[in-house]
Amino acid sequence: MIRVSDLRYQYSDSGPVLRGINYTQTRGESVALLGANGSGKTTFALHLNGILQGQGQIEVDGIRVASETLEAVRRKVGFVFQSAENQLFLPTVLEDIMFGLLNQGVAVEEAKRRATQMIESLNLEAYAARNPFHLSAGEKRRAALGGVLLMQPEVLILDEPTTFLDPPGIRSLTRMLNQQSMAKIIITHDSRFAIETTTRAVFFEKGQIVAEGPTGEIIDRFGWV
Amino acid sequence: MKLDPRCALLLLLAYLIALSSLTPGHNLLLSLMCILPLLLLAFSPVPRADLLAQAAYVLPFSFAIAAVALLRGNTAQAVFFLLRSYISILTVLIVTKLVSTLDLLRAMERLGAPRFLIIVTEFLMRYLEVLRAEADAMRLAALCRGAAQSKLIAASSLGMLFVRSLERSTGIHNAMLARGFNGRLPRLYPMQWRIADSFTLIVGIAGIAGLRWAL
Repeated sequence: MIRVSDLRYQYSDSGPVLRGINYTQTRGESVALLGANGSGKTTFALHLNGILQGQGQIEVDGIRVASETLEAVRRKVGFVFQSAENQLFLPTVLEDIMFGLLNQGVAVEEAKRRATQMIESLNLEAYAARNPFHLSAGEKRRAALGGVLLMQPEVLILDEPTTFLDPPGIRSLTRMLNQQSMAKIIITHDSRFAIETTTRAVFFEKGQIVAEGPTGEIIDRFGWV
Repeated sequence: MKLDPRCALLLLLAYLIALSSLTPGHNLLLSLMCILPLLLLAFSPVPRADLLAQAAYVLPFSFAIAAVALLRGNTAQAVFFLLRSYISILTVLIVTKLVSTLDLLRAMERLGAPRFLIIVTEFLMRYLEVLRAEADAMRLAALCRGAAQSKLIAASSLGMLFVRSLERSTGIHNAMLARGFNGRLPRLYPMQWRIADSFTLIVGIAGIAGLRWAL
């Protein structure tokens, strides 16, 4: 499903951030990306959606990620960012959740119908016509996730999804994610959440993958609790 | 019945053009033209006192021109300049209360204004609240650490606010790209121009033109 070979990247104002990443992921598999802040997890994930383009090769479902394939790649790879506020920018929750579908060319009425269903499944009916900025952190997170899930991606990337969530919010998110059958990549510092939502983990250190294996084992090996 | 925002925008433009074409000496005409926004103000569900006060913000700026007339001893001309600028701003404020600014921007886009300009303005408006929240958070953090409300702190905070805003705008752009943004914001509610809009526009422009040039 995902194949990454010798991926290297450097920001203009820093040293190398990714130093030859090799990574594979099968269809439907859930993987946790673990590692210290600044170890390259988010930078790596941004490459899978083509937002960053470094040296090396990335294939998603047989499509090589390149400037000319970005539209197709972004239909397959959904990205829920760490800051839900950055993701929610339209005047109402309904419009924001529809945004991705409308970009895919889905007709307004159909997009509205599907978005309404998604809003119901997220228990956000009361907020559909409200400005997303006025939601709580957990509601914002759910709305941001809904906007991406509605695009029916084959790979779902979540960057620090438990940030600002209270324990019931984390439990709700865990349930929601475990109901999704697509491949998932979850960047998190929350070891319990990682164990409950993923089967495999890779550990990043200074821009390289230094270990991978069953999530529980990797967490124990690096004392990542 | 709600006017199409394009119709409201065109009527506003026609009124402002007619108003700006008045020259000192058209005192009666200016008084008559003032009646239009005042009628709108009186019969529309808008916060009248607030709008009347907000429109006064323009006075210090137009006073610079009025001051020249005053120095020449022409008080009537000074009053004319002040009144014309005040009424212009008041009319714009009333229209932006009756038609949402986002609708007016969309109307501008449909009437041929550069799309890039419209998108930038839309984002600016949508994120004013976020910018305000960032500024409030920074101010609170500074106060909690014992900062005084000095100009130096305000200046350095402003610089930091720009940095944070840039960071946030990059994040927003990335999130938009990830959901397939192609440079065009989808429009959820298409505008519908009705016969009533055509009628209102024709009658409105004829009325404004008649008032300005026929009297």
